[in-house]
Amino acid sequence: MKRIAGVDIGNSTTEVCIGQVENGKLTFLASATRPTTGTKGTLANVHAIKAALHEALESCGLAESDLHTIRLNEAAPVIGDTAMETITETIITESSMIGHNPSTPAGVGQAAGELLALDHLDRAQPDHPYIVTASSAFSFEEIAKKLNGLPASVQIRGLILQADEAVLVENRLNRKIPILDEVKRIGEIPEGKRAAIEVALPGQSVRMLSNPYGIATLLGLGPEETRQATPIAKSLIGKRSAVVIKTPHGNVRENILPAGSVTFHGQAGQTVEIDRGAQAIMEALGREGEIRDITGEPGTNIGSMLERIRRNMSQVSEVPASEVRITDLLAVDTLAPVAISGALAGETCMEKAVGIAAMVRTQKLPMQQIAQRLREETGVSEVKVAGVEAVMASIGAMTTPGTALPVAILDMGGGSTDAALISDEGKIFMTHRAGAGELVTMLIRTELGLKERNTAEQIKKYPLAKVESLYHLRLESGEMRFFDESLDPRLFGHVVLLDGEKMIRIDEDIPMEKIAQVRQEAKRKVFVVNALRALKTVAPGKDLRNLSYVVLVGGSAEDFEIPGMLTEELSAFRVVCGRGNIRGVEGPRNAVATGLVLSAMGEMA
Amino acid sequence: MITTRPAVRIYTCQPDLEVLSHICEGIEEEGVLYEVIPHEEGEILAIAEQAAQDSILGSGIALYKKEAVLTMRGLPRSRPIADAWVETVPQARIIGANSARLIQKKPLLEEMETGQNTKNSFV
Repeated sequence: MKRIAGVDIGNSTTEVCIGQVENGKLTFLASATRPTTGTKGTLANVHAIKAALHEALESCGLAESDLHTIRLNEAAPVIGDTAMETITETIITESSMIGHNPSTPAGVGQAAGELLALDHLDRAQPDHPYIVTASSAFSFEEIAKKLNGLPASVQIRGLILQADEAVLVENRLNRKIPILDEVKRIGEIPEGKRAAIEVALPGQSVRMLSNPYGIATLLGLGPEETRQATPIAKSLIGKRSAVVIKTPHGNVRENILPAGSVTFHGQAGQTVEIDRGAQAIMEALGREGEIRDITGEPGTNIGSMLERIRRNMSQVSEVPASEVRITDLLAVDTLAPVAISGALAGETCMEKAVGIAAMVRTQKLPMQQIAQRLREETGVSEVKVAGVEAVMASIGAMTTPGTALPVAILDMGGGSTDAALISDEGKIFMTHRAGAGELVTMLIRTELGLKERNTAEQIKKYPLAKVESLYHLRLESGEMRFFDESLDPRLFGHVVLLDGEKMIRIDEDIPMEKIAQVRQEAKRKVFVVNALRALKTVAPGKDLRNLSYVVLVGGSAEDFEIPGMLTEELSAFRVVCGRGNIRGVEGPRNAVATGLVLSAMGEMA
Repeated sequence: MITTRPAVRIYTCQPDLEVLSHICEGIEEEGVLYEVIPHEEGEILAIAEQAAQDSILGSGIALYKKEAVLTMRGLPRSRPIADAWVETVPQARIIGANSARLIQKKPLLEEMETGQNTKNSFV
C-alpha cells in the first residue's frame, strides 16, 4: 500500500489531494484548500503546503509520516498584474460648480441670481435677483426669519445652506424658492458672482444644469462660454440638485491626457493608440500571432503603466526589468470617478479610463527548492516536481462525470486565464492569457468608486439583496426572503451581499441594480472575452466549433454567474461547457492536485 | 384621541422640551408628519411599543425626560431600533430622522463619532 499527496500551488490558493494505492487500485482519501502564502513558486509557499497537508491528513486520521510521496505541480511560469489609467480629466481651476445628491433638498425648480451671504442681506439692491448662502452658524429659524423680514422689492430667488435643514427652512418661508443643502465648504462660494441653482423633483434629476444650453440660458452665456460649460453639464447629469457659478476667468476644461500608444512586438509589429479603445487594441493584438514583448510609448500613461508592471514583475521573479517580457495583455474600456479639483461638495466626474491586465512569462519557477524544503520539514523522503500544471489539470478535469476526449479545460484564476486541450491522441496544447479575477475586482472597484478593494472583491463573489424592511429582503433576482427574527437595524435600507446566512453591508449609497450591472459587465468584459480568446488558441484549426467538451476549473469557476455566462456563450458553437466536478465530488477545485495523484498511478504501472 | 393622520407617533412623559423639538425637526426635515401626545408614566419600552402600534405609519417614539426610544410596529419590545439618553442636537435630530427614514425605507443615519459641534450640546 502507498499513500500519495498531490499539491497544487496557485496564485491565491494551495490545494492538496491525498490518495491511497492498494493492489493497483486507487482510492481518494481527503483533500484540503488553504490560501497560498507568499508569491507562487517561492519558498514562502511551504507554510501553506504544510498547513493544507496537515488538514487533509488529519481529516482521515493520518499523519505526515504515513505519506510515501508528495507530488508538486510545475506551476505555470506566468504572473499577471493589473493597472488602470484614466485618459480624460476635468479640471476646474476656480470653484465654479456644486452638484450633489443631498438626501432632502427643498423646493423645486431653477433660478439664477447674484450670490449674497446671509449676513450681507442689508447690501441687497432692490429688484435685483439674488441667491443667498447661509452657513450652519445660523439656525433654520433665524434664516427663515431674516428672509421673511425682507421688503418685497428684494428678490431672493434661491438659497444654499451648509446644514441639512432645507426642508425645515422651506416650511417656514413665506415665498417658495429652490433650496440646496449639505454644502460643506460654503465659505468658498464666491460672493458677488452670478450663479444658477436647480432642485429637481423627487425621483428626478436636474434638467437645466445638466444641459449646456440650459446653463447658457440661466447664466446668459455666449457660444464659446457654453462650450466651456459642457464638462460641467456632463458632471451634473443624474444629480438631484446643483449650482453652477459663473466665474469670469474661471477655467473649466476637459483635458485629453496624452494616453500614448502601445506597440506589439510580434509578427507585424503594430502600434495602436490607446484612445482608440479596448476593441481596437485587442483586434491588433489578435493579428500579431506569437508576441515576444509589449511596450508602451515612453512618457505617456500607458508607457508608465507597462513599465510599472515590468518593475513589479522583475521584483517578484528576480529577473532584471530589462529582461522581463510582457507576452499578453487584455485591455478593457471602463469609466472611473475622478474627484474634480475645485468642486465644493466633493463632486466626482466619470472619466474615460482603460484597465489593463498584463502577463509576464517568467523563468522556470524554483520549484526544486520548495521540494527540498518540504522534504526536510515533513520527513517524507520522496518529494517530486511532477508534471506541467495544465497537463495535470486536464487529467484531473477528466474525472468530471460526463466528459470524453477531446476535452478542453479552462482554468480561470486570479491573474491569468489558461486553457489546455487534450486531443484524441492524447496530445496536449495549452495557452496562458492575461486577465482574470483580479482585473474584474479592479473594474468593479473603479466603476463603483469603492473605497475598499475588499468590498469590490465581495461584490464579485456574492449575490445582492436590498433590506426593504426589518423582516424581509428583496433579492437581485426579484424574489423576496422573509425572516422570523427582526434584522439588525443598521442593515435597514442598505444593499447587502449574501454570504450564505451572513449579510455584508455595502456602505456606499449605490442602487442594487447599478451594482449588479457593473458586476456582470465587468465579468463579461474579462471572462467571456478571455475564455473565447484562450479556447480559440487551443482549438483545432483555431475554430471553436471544433471543440466538444470544455470543463471549467479553478477559483473563478466557483463563481455564481461566470459559468452560466460561458455556457450560454459557448452553446452558440455547440460546445458542451460547464463547471467541472472533479472526482464527482470536489466541484471545480482540486483538479491539479487530483491530476498529480492520478499521474502517480500511471508512473507506477 | 383617535386620529387617522399618517404620522410618526411620539408619546411623551415629562419630556425635555429641547430634545423633543429637535426630534421633531429631524422628522420634519425628512418630510414626514408627526404627532406629539402626552402619555401617563409607565415603562418606556412599552410606551414606545404602544406609540408604534398607534401610528398609522407604524413608527413610534417614547420620550421620558431625555431618554428617547424609537421602535417600529412588530418589533419585539426588548429590541427597539434605538434607546438613548439624548445629549446633543445631532443625536436628537438623528432619532427623529430615523423614525421617518424607517417609513421611507431609507438607510438609517448613524451618529458621527467625532467632530460634533460642541456649541450644539445641551449640557
